[in-house]
Amino acid sequence: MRSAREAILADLRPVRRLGRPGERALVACGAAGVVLAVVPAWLGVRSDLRQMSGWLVWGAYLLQVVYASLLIVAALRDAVPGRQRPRESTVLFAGGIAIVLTITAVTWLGHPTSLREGTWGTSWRTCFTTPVILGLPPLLLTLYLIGRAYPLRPALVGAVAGLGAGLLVDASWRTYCPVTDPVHILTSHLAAVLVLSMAGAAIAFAQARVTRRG
Amino acid sequence: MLGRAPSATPPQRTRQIPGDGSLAADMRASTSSQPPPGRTAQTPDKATDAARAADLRLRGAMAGYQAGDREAFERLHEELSRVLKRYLHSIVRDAGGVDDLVQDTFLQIHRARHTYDPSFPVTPWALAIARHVFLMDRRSRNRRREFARQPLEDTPEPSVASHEEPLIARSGIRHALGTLSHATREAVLLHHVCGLSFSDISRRLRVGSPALRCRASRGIARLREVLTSDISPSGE
Repeated sequence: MRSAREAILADLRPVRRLGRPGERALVACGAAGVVLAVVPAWLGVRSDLRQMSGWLVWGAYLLQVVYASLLIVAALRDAVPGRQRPRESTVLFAGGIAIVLTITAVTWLGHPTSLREGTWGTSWRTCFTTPVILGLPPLLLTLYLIGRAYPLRPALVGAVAGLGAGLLVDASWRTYCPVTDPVHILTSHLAAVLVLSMAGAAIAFAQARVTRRG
Repeated sequence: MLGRAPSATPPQRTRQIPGDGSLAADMRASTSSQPPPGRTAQTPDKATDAARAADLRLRGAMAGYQAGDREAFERLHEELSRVLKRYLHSIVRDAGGVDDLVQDTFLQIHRARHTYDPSFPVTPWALAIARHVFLMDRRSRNRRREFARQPLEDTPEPSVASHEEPLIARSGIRHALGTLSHATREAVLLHHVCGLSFSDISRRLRVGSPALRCRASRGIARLREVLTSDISPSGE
């Protein structure tokens, strides 16, 4: 028992206490807010926005943004020892996927639009690659904040954070992409969200391994 | 990456622990104190008050520890090591390893001390870290056991060495050791060559045992990589 105690005493110095998950989530959501503003400001909004019901566009947008923020708060909370709730996080994760699927179905039923023939490849490239790239800054910032804590289940925490970042970007991307065809949405939009989630899990796992090697 | 927009045609919580599973049970196992011989058991109210007072003491000590107060850490160490020992005894089969796990837990607690929020009790926070240390230790033990169980047929036959080979091997090993960082080389040599245990090395170098284990294992992997890359397929 002596050696650990002595090692700690030799290294004893004041530390800055970690902020609460909600406060830290504000930082991550601030970065995500920039991404949310970038898409309509830089790329504009979908051409058929006026023909669609406001609920279908902004209701879905709001739902996704609020849920994504919840996911980020949950990830930051789970990164603190003793406050993790893995079952709740797993349910939240499944809920995030369910929300994307529900919004996809509702928008397809309310306003069906499909891709023009021969544009599948270009659309896939645009609607998969761009959200992944736009999602990286909020994801990396969230992962940095997670790394500042001490996640005991880094892969789960990273996956939840990645899903949160993915949903935020997807919410914004839906105001730009006019296609509501489920095949397009699932193979590009949802795929981008899942890739961000997997990247979050992998990065958080690697980060925890590296930081705990000492 | 950015192409044209796709064109469309309109038409207080529970956590799993090994054993029975709930944090409540976990807390009961680790914080319930048996009355000492010759004294009667406390009434529930008194026990609750005592637990509350102990929790407040721990919170105060933890806040002091975060501020770098030496005495606060000593107090925390004294109280928390009892709780951690009790908890780890309840989940570890090999009672001899409990002290090592308590040591490792304290090192991890030290690394994670900034994550403690004084508005929450200390014990669940510390026990979550202890459980993590226990799981990591069990995982690494299982890995070692699996490695030891590998059939002998998989082990390559040693070749008959000529009289120059020990010299060549020695220079090769020296070269391979030279590719390691100082800290990694130190861990490899002290453990695998001098035969010191990780806890002895940890005491000597003031580095945590898990970190040393990682360094030694990474070092051996690197040595294997360098030494096997030196052997050409033709056996030259």
